[in-house]
Amino acid sequence: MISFILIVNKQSQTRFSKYSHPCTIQHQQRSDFELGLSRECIQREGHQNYIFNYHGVGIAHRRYASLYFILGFADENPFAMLELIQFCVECLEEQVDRVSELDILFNLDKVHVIMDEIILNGMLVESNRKRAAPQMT
Amino acid sequence: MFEKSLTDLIRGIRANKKNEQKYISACLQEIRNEVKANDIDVKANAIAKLTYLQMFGYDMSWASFHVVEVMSSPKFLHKRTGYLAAAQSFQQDTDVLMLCTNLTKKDIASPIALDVSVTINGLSHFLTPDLAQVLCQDLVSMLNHSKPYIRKKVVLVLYKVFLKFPDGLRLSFPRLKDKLEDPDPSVVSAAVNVICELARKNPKNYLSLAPQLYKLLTTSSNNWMLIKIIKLFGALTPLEPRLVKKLLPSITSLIQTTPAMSLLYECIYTVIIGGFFEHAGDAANSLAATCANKLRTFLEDPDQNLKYIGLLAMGRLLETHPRLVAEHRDLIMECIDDADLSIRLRALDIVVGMVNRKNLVDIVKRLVAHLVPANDADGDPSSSFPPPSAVVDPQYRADIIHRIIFICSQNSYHNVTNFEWYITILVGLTYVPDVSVGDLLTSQIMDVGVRVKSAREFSVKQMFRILSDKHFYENVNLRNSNIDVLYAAAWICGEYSRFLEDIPATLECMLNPAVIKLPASTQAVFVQNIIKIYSYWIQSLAEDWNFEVQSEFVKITEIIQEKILMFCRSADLEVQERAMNVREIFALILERVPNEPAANGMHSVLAEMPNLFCAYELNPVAPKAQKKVPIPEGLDLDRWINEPLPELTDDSDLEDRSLSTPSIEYESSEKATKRRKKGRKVEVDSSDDEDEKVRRRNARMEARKGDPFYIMSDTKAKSPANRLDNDIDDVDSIPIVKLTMDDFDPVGKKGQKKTKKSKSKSRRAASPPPPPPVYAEEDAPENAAPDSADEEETKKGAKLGKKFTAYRGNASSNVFSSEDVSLNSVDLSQPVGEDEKLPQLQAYMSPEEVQRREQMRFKAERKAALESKASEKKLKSAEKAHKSSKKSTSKSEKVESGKKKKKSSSKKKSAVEDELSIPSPHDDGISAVSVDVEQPWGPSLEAAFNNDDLEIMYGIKLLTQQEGDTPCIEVKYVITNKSSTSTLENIQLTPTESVDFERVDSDNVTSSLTPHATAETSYRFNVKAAPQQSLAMSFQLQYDAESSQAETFSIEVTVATFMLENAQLDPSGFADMLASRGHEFGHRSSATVILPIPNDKPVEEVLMQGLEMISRTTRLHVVEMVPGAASLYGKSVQGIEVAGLLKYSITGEEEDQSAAMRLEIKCTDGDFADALAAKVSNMS
Repeated sequence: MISFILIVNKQSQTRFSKYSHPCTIQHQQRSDFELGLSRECIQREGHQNYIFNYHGVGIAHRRYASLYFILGFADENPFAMLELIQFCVECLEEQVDRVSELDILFNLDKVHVIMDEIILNGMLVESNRKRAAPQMT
Repeated sequence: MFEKSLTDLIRGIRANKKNEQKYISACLQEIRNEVKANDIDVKANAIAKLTYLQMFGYDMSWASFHVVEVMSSPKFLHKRTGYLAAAQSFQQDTDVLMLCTNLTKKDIASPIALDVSVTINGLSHFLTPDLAQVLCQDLVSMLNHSKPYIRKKVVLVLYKVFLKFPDGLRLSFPRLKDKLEDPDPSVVSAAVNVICELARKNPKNYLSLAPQLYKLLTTSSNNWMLIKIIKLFGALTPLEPRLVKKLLPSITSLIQTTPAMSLLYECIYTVIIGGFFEHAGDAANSLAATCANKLRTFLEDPDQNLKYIGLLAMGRLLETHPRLVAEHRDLIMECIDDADLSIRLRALDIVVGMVNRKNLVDIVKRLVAHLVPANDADGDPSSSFPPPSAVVDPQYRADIIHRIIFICSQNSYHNVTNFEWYITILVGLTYVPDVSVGDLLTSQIMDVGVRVKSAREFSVKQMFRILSDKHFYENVNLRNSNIDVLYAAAWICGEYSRFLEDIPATLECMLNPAVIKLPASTQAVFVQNIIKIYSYWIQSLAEDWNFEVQSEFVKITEIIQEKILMFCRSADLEVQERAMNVREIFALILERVPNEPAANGMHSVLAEMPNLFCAYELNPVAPKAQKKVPIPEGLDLDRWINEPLPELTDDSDLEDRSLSTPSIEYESSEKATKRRKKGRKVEVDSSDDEDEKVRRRNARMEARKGDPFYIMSDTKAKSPANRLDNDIDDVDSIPIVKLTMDDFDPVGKKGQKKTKKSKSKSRRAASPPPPPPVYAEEDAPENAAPDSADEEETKKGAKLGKKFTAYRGNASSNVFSSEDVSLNSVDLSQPVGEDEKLPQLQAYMSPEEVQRREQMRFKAERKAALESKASEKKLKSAEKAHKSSKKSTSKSEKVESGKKKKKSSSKKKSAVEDELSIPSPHDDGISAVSVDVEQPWGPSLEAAFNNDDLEIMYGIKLLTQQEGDTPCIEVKYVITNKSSTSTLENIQLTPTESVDFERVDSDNVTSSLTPHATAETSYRFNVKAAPQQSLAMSFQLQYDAESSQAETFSIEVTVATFMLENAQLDPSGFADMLASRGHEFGHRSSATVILPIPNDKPVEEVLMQGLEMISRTTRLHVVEMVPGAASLYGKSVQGIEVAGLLKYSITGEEEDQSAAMRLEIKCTDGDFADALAAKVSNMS
């Protein structure tokens, strides 16, 4: 199960977050969790691996320019998770030419829609990029 | 118009970086106003902004209701915003979710795919058990949706439904299973995903899917799905090992051919954890080798991720194939030095499991190298290490130390051959800066010191070095230091002071002023051990005691006595007390010794000193000492302390078995006792004479009698006498493996010898220097029984020693694991029973509603029974059927009325009126209920005043029909002259002045009535008072009969008066209203009316009359009639709304039945509800 997907910038500011189990952590606690996690990810340097364990949650993360895509999961294939991040980014790029922080910031609803097309209920919905790109309205 | 858009908000936040908080709180305030706007666009915009802020941790639960409003907008964009907000913010306990039932139900049935998709996305987040139950049926039927786009999402959201509503799984599993063969690959993939998740919880349910999954495995090329399928098989194979043989070829070929690392990893991982090696037969070894080799390529890869994952898999492989992993030791050891900490930790996990005697030293050396710069690793441990490098964080180093100690100490130091080396390591570790593992090291050092005799001298030397290291004391002020080790140092030096080389120097070290900064517990140990060392010193001086020695001794003692003063001033009581004791001893010595001439040898005080502290050697306690404590003679644990209670004497038996057989220890200790008694005759035990057996059995039965914890077995059926005769459950006859001394001892001893031999052998082999460690004898209780269990465990322990024992760090629990246990218990192997159906609910179900439905169903069942009864009656009383009643009792018409009811929901108003216009069956018979059919809400007349001369009836009518206006009522009087002769003159009816009512028309009518004549007058009032129970209007009546008469009477203005005529609702409107504003109806009241059921009238008719009466009295409109209940609604001119539920129950016997009709009122006003209920109660 994919527990959450998080996009943060270099300053550890959350730019997008989506949780599969909404009831687990709330408000300030969630912000603290995201902050801690994104700091951890940002601290890891290029030579370090992208998969690690944070407070018992499996984490896969990848950096694209100034953005960090972080995926939390349990009992999943870590490689597949890394590939999933790549896949998400590719899908985002279908809509926006080069995904930048501002694109995400000002098109948050779009990002939500795209992510919803890819991940639903902690599971992968569509693995075909062409089909996953939703009809935007 | 001029609200901030989301983009404006984001820009604003970016522009106000300095005082972001302030800006956001201002925005939040704006949002608070905007969500209340009537314009849905403004509202949606506000919700969108709020959702954005929610991402930063701002609470938006207060806006839940507005979110629902936006969700219910027909516009897709709004809907999307609303559902997104709901997905992000709703919790399981969000109360407005109850309002979403109809909405979501409607939305998933929408013809527009996007609407459905948005709804499903939202549902996947906020689905509650109630929602799941309601929507399950709909969603399952959507599995056959024409669009694969919808199908795949429905499949996925069903998983959530099953989590919340486990029964749904059983009912819809066949449909889900079909989706594995869906023409669309995405749907298949989704189904595999869901089944994989389900199988993780309870795999045995899904074994039957193996053929389909296997087909997918061999035909599909979608790696995402293949990963899931393989994962799924990994969960299935432990249950069905035969699958392994089937799967092996395809998985092997995947391992060998796939270019995708993720799939390759999944295959290998599944092979390892799925128990493939155990069941693969001949191919197991080659398979394992293939896996190990593939993993090796992972480790060799420059990609850190591959390394990490490879190590993870290696770790799992280690549990089953340690040898295969050991082949790659070189690579793994390399990973320990990897720059990436997480890789190091994974590698360490493996290394910890790989440790054996041969490589222990090497591995520990490498680990220590992580803690200190390489050149110092083996160097002088007492030299201070450079400050911690920034790269290596303290937590990591603490972890390393824990691991070092774990691998060395596991299985009672099984792998350590050279304890002097180990002590050196421990001492070295104490100098590792900026970690706090002092207590661990302390216990290790003390443990080794006590256990290993041969290493004591060495450890004393090392401890002395620590004690004498002045720099070490400086650490005391550091937050993270291992200063606690001084505790062990002082204790070891004190306990084994005979190994100390220079006692005065040691004492000096221990009395250095820095000591008082140490923790109190350490100080106490210091004080105690100072006197221990001192007393040993006396003993050592005793042999060549002379004057010189004595003066030297006195000098030193004086110094010590002086220095010990610093402990006397300690704030800690323990330290202070000990220090005072010690000081007194010194004082005593100093008082006596200098006075004695040295020639006499040692003073007697001194001679006795050592005995105080060195009476006997302290040994470690054997781990199983407690178990070995023999049971004292005469202690019978089976005997009753008090006599058992007589009434609990039956059933016994089962416990005999359950208690004695499974527990080896119990059995063996019993054997042991027997052995002691009978020596080698144990074998004869089986042929024990029968008498003895019976006697013992009876004794046991007696003893077990009345034991409340004694649960009867199936043998309960047997009569007690029977049981005694052929009792096969007897303990003595249970065939257990006989252990004789001959069998037993050699094995144990041989085993022990063997292990000892092998130990010493390996020690000898382990290169020249370290002599075999001499272990201190372990303390065990006196005359401990060498029992079999113990030896068995030793054997087991030896076995375990080889087995991998994992090092577990501080595993923190996963905050995201939201497991639903109930789903695990769903058993799909049972066929779905006929009574199991997916819940089909049409309307919104609030908890009250659910309760209502329950009751209704119950009533309906009851009614069915009644109906059959009634139809029997009907046959008897067919001719008596009431003509005036439209509601006939005949069955056919009943059906018609049922149809009418249906119509009523569609035709709404007219239908309701139709229902209401059913005239009362009893016409003038009951005075009050003379009804004007045309004018359902017209005033029914009630008696207001009655005397010999005249009778006054009155009716009140509400004139205002617009909600919110000042209520205006018309009171109509019908005055009848009762007398047949006299004429009444000057009849005048004047309302009394009141603050509650304001007269609108002014003229008072004066009239006169001839005999039997009737006159009508009416008055109009504006009602000032709030509608409540005891609202009354007084009138003064004056008239002239024979004489002038004056009377006063008052009439009640009931709350029902204020009910609006046109406030009617159709059933769905009613449901919607309750759904959306149900919480406003907070005030409840209820009333019961008992209606006798005459023999000649069918029950239905009476009930209809009852309903009519109630509706008339309360002026509530009937919203809907369902079997067993009716719902009512009304709104007063003041805007008070009333929702009523009328139910009935039939009581009494055949001939004397009565119907109790209970009206439950929910109202927006408390007084109003009570007044209405009171009115109903008084009705009959």
